[in-house]
Amino acid sequence: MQLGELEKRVLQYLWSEKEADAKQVHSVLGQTRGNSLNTIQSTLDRLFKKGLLSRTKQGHAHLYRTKVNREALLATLITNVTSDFVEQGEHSLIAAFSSASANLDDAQLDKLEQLIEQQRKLRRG
Amino acid sequence: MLVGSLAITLNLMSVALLAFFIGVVLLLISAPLCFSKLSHFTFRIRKLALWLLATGPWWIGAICVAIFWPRLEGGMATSWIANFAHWHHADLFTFTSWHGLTLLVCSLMLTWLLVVIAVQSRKKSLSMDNLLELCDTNEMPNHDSHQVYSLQLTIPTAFTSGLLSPKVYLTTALQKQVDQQELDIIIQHELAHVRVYDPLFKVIFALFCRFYPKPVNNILMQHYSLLTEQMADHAVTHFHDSLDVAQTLINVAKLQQKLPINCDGMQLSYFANEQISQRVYRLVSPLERTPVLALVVAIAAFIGAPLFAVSTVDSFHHFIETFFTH
Repeated sequence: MQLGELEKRVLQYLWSEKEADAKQVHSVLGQTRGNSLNTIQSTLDRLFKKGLLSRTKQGHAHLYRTKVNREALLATLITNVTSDFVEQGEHSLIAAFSSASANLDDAQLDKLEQLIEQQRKLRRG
Repeated sequence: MLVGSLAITLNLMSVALLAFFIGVVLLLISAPLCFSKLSHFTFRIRKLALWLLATGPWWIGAICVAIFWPRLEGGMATSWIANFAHWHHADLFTFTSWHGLTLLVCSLMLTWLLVVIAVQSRKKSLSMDNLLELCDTNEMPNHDSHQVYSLQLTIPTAFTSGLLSPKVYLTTALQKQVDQQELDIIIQHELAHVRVYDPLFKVIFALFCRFYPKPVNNILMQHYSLLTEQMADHAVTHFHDSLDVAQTLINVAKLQQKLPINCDGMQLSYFANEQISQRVYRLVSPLERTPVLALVVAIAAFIGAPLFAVSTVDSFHHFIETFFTH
C-alpha cells in the first residue's frame, strides 16, 4: 500500500485524536504544512477509500476515525516487506529471527525444549 | 526469412530456450529426490546445490549454446557430439516458424516477469518507508559499525531488511521481553544476515525460482530460506552456546504465539514452523560433513544434466517438427 507524506501525518493525527472532521485536521496539519482545506479533504477521502478510515456524516461534514489501529497497520506493513515476492507468506525475503504461527502449538515447542534440555544433561554427563 | 549472423544468433537463442525447458523438466523430475537429500549436505554444499538447482536451466541453456556454437563446427568438440546433436538450419531463421513464435512468447514472458519483480520491489520499498515513518526509530549503538535500529512497536519481532545496505530492526516489545543474552543472540543472528547480504541474494534467488512452476518455486524458496536461517544460527554459535541459540529461538517463537489475531498476518506459514523445528534440530546436532556418496551422486547429476540436454535438444527439435514445419 502506497501512503503519501500527508496521508501518514493524517493517520498519526487520527490515531492520537480518535476522531476529527476535515476542518479540525486542517487546523492542525494544514496550516503548519501550508495545505488547503481541499487538500486535507481529498487526503481524508483517499484514506477512506484505501480502507484505513471510517466516516460518519455529521451535518454537512464527515467525521473521520481510523479503521485500523496503529499496531495492526504496522504489522501489515511488516508483512508486505517480508513477503511481497511469495505466495501467502510462505517465506520471507527479509530475514526474520523467528517466525511462528498458530500452527506451531505449545506442545511442539515444549517437545523441542525437552530436546534441548536432554542435550544439556548429556553434556553435563 | 533471415539469413546470416543474426539468424545464427536467433537459432542459438532457440537452442538455449529448448535446453532451458529441458532443464526445468529435469529438475521437476528429480526434485523430490534432490529436496529429500539436501538436509544431508553441509551448509556450504547445500547452498551451492540450491543455487545450481535454481540457476540450472540457465547453465544448461548456456552450455548447449556453447556446444552448438557454429565456430566449433568441424572441431574436436563437435566430432562426437555431432552424432547426437547437430545443426539443421544454422544460418536460416524464419520469424513465422515455431522457433520464432516460441522466442517471441518467451521474450514477452521474461519481460512480464521482470516488470512484476520490479513492481513488487517498489511496493516492498514503499512499505518499508511507510513503516519507518509511522514508527519511531532509534539507532542502537555499538554493533561493529553495522546499523541496528530499534522500532517502537508492541509486536515482538526482529528482522533484517535492505538490499544493498541491509539494516537490522528490533522492536521495543522484543527488547523488553528477552534477557541480555537472548537479545545479543538475536542481534548476532540478524547481523549474520547483514554480513552476507541475505536479503539481496534472496531476491536474486527468488527471481531464478520464478521460472519454475509454482510448487517447485515455493519448495526451492523454502529450502533457501531455511538454509539462510540455519547459517545465521550457526554464525551465532561462534559467540554463544548452540543450545542457548536454540532456546532463544523457541522463546521468541513462544512470544510471537501470544500475538493478537490482527497481528498474526505478519507471521509466516506452516513451513516456518517446520523451519523452527529444523533449526533447533540442526543446532542440537550439527552436521560435520557431507556423505561422500551423496556428493558424488550430486556432482554426477550436475555434470550429466547439460549433456543429456544437448542430446535431447536435437531429438526434441525432430519431435516438434513432426507437428510444425518451418
